[in-house]
Amino acid sequence: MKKDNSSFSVTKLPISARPWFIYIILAPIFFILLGYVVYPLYRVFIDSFYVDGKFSLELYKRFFSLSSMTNIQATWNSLYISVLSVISCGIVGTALAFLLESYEFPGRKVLKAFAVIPMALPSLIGAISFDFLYGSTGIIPRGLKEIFGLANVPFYLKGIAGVIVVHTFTMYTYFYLPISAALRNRDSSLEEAALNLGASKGQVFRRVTLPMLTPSLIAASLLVFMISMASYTAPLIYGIDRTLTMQIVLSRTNGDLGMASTQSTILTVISVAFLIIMRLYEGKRNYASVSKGAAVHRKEVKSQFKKTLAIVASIIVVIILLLPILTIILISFSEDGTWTYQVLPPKYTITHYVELFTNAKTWRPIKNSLIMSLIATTGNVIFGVMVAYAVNRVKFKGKGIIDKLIMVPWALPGTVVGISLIAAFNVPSVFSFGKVIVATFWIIPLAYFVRHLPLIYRSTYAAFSQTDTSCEEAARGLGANWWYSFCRVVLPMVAGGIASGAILGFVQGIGEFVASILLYTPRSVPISVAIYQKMYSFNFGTACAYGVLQIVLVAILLLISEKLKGDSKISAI
Amino acid sequence: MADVILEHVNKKFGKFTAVQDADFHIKSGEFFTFLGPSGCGKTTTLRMVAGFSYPSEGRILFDQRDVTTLAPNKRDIGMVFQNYALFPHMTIGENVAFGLKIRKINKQDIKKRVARALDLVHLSGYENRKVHEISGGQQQRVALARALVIEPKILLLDEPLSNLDAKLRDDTRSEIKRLQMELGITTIYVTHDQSEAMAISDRILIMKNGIMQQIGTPYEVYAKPKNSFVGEFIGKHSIFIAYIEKIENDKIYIKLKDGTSLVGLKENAVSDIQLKPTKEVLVAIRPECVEPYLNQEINRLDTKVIHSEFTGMSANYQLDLAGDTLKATIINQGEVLKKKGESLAVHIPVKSLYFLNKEVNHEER
Repeated sequence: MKKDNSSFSVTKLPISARPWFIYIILAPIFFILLGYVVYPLYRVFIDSFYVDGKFSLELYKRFFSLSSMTNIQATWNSLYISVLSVISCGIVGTALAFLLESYEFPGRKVLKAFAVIPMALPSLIGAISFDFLYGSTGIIPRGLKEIFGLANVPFYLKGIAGVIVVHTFTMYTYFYLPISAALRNRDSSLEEAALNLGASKGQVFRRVTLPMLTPSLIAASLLVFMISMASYTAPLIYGIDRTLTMQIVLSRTNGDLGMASTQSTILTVISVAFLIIMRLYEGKRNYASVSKGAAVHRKEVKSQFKKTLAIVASIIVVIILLLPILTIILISFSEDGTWTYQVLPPKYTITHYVELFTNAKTWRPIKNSLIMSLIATTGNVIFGVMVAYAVNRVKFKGKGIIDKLIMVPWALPGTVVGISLIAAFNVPSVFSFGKVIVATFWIIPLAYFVRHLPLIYRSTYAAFSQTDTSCEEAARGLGANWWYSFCRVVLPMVAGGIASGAILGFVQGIGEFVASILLYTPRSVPISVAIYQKMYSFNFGTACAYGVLQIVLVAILLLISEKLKGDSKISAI
Repeated sequence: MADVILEHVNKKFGKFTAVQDADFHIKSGEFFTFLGPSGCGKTTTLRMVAGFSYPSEGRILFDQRDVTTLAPNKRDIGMVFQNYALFPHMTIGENVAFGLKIRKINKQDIKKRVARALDLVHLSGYENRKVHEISGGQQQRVALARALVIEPKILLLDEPLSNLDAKLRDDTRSEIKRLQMELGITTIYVTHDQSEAMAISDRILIMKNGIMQQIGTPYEVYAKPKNSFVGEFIGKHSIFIAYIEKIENDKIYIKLKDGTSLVGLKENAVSDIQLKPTKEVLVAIRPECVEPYLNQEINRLDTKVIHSEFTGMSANYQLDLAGDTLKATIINQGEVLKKKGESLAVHIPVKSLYFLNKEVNHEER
């Protein structure tokens, strides 16, 4: 290197260390985010302002018009359902968390194991099982009518109440899990300190325990609100046409893509606003205990009466938790078309299961779901690893943007993802390499890719940030070039975490319904859409056999994922 | 073995200067330590030597070869990380063999050299253990074996003892020194612990805020600190502002704030200090140089005890000297321990007064 007159020489960096080099590496990442997250949303946004090729606010005028209240009512209903869902999930989830974390009683462990069952239930199957169980012709209402010889069914779930019950069942875990984690990890010495300072038990709860849980409660509320706003399946099953998601699909079905875009834009604005609030809130999310004090002690239930009560209550709760799955299993063995007025299906057969795997026609959706989900997950993993590595290990400008953009699909309702992909790719574009993707096989894998991007990215990112960056440097110092150390040191260390995240993404793909129903073609029907079609044509048995298959797949994969997560934790120490 | 030269190396992160004008020569086979409080730039400097980051300005040379921007995998260095950075998915043997595999050494030789390296750190037979199955001290030694097995020209150690408990730290320290002497390898050691640096190093570079304060042997930096920072950081000197009264022959006569006169030796002044009457100087006194006053003619200080503690072998005092604090360690020869508030007259030998500069800071450049 030449030295100039001053004794200082400005360092000339090797190409790979020059500041702009990283942006060449990042180009494909930006291309994908731009093409499949930003551009579709942009299309929807633009479409909502154009009528017949001219800029106009006509669509928004129609949306907010007071003469036809449909859209305003739909928005109101969506908000109303969401608020009630938050309250209901909050009460059930928090109460269960307190019960299971603060008291020791017979049946606690069983109850705890079953408390997370709703997570294994794909949304469509969950909603359907509730209709089978508690609907106007459901097993429970009819059963009660038979047993007590009533003239009419004593109760049944319908309408918005039905939607909220389904939401509560499927979403209370969003409260239950963080609250019980917060309760478990809380520093009991804080409560002891408060007691020691003279606070009564009530005061301790109000002034110490509850404030420590507030961050988790607020985060869970925001999450449930967002998911409820995005919920499509429950309103569909309970026939609540007037929610934003249902209106979007109806507009699309009626060919009014402009209106669908307007509705999607409004729903997106609400959802993204909530995402932003959530991320702002995340910073102060938990008060992790600083001390490694003694574990929180659970109070033991001692009196015999209370013990018996606890056992009975636990059994009832476990039954309620298990009933949906048991129902689906039961009906999966029923002969199609035989179950009409009876409490339970009268005739049973195993042909549905045999057919699933032997009949090419019924096997097809299974194969489709597996293939499409696998394609999307593979894409997600490659992309996720690239971004997570870059964000975690390399310094560059624009990190914040990537990190935020990648989380956007997480806030987007499935319907919006569907509509936006239609808006973007029903004409050729750069991002579809000059082809129309809508109405082809590739649109659903793309939708899964976009929807599950945040999930897989998050877990991949976590895997990277849990591993020690100096291992990579150590490998480099020992003479390994970048690629060798990436393959032999970095990847093996994060593999467990990535695999567990990838499985979660794959599971989501297997259960996906909302975007699929908007995008499927006759050749690319996934399981959930097949279930819906079978339900529609009263082939309950086949529909439920699909459902059982979904549940079994999901359960197995979730277990594997947990195992992988556990293993990677051990090896990281 | 190689010598390492840093030529006017600067490292900036945006506007923040992490290392300013690092310029020194580490001799072949030397045990050289970067010492300083956290955030002083010592690890940043080490990482530039290792090649994990590149200087903003200046050059780094190994044996006259410019390696300023050479990729880390081409530098032939062994490095031990603070947290050891052992690969958790490999066994101990695989960890140690990693660098040899990359160098495409044949399997038998790898096996032999891994065994020899593990023997060197007293871990023979641990080849098939997993990383999480061994203790922290053993992990540390594996990291050392992994760095040494490739026979690097330079060994870099980034606070290698900071995760060990006190007893293990002493043992491992002498172990590292023994290996370095045996192999004669040029070693750069980073630490914030001054007694560790004193015990192990041939020479020490003391840094603060990214700036070199002093380079010298342990004895030099302890006994002859160049400035107030080094004085306080290394020898726990008490430092006072004083005015020069007169300079006669080999003696300097000074006055403290409160008017107390003291006499010191001219040879105890750092070379670049201005010695003129009425000029301000910093006077440094180490605690162990403070003696009980026994009718000596000069250098008597009248103090009040602020705090005293008795350790058995000695009494440690914090003494009030006209508003400033003088630290004193007085060997227990049967004196009564003075309590808080009592007055205590002490004597400072003429040879124990040092005259220093202020520490080097960014503003002065």
